[in-house]
Amino acid sequence: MFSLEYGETITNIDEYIDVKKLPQNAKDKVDVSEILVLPRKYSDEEYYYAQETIDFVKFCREHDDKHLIDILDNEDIMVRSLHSSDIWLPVIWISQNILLPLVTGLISSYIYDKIKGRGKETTTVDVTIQINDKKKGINKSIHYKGDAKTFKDTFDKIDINKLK
Amino acid sequence: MIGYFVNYSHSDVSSILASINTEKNLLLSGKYKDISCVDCSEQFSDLMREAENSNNERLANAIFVVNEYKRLFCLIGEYYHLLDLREYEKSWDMLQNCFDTLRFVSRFCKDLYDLPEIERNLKSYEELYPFKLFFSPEYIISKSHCSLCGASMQNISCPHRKGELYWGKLAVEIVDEIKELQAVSLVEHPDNKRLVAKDADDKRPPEEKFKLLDYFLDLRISKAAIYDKKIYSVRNEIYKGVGRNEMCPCGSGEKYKNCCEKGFSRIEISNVRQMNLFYFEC
Repeated sequence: MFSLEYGETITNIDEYIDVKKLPQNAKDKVDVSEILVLPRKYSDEEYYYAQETIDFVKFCREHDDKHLIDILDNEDIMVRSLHSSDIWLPVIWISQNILLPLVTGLISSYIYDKIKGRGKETTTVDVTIQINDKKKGINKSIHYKGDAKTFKDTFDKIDINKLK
Repeated sequence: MIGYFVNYSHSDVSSILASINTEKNLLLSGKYKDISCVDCSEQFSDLMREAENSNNERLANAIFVVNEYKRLFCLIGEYYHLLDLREYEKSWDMLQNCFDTLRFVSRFCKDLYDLPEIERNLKSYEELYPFKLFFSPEYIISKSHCSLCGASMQNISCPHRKGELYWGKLAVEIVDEIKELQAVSLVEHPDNKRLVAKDADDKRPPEEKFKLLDYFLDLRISKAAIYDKKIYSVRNEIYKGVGRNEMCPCGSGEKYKNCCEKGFSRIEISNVRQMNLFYFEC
């Protein structure tokens, strides 16, 4: 069981940088990074990063040294810990829609690594991929919530050329 | 990872593997009280020194995993012993300790065929407890540090990932500051099943609260057994024709609908066999 929702941009990067008064180098990251991990605004109007954020970024950097993968904040982040056995991944921003297969591959490898040893237990994954492709004018987000084991198959069926 | 340890040429390796075989034998023969759950680090210290001297991180990590694998059988032995004592509340926490260690070992040793057997055995016990809902807190972590290097785990400067092994040590996030406890939810699949949701006014004796487990233990099936089970509900003859709003015939003083209407659970067991455990050649 899973749900896949397409929608508008989840995290407005400019707004977050303004609200948090982030320094110039945070703004620079938006220009140079290909994959950037973002917080999201919750119902209390505060921005928090998801539970797996730091580990996910470290994992991506260990497994892919060809792309610029970073986290928007430079300093310590606020992490929303849900303490369930589910995998809560952050909002993952990509600068071009062609990076979608790469990101889903990294997410899939991360999930596989996390659920190793869990036997027959069912694990749910929650992740949002935000695409802001300036060249193609794409501002979209894809939110997946569901079985960790079906994540890859579900994303493999997405035609990135139809993301407009 | 255990394969690397098994094939490593050192005199301590075969004695450690032989002690694990002994633990398994004790578990299967019902002598689990004899499994001494002592800190095994002494047995591994020579090997760990060798790993450090030869700059062999793989060996150091394998030692940690084998130590945990060995500890798993001690924990299972302690769990079975608590069942013998009918210490149901305590046994639940010990069962969760077994699962935590099992998950850790399974993560690093996917090829050991006895791990799914152990999981099946322990899961069968877990299903007999009345605990189905758990508390799960939601909070905002503002400060934490790495157990290995002490660096903040709230940014990417620390090189360690939680739950990974580095030089025979496990990287753990130590939370220093919680900015806010936002909620406590009732969930079915928490990270920690020790936070059990219980009725504070439930004054029933343990054998009543843990009726199904108590009934199962009365069947005197080997603790290390694997079996198929069917749980079904039965009702005593004295309840025939009792209206839902009538007082319960059991004498509890409650209405029948709030008391014995659901009947009581029984278990049918079939295809009983011993757990198939893996033995090392040593």
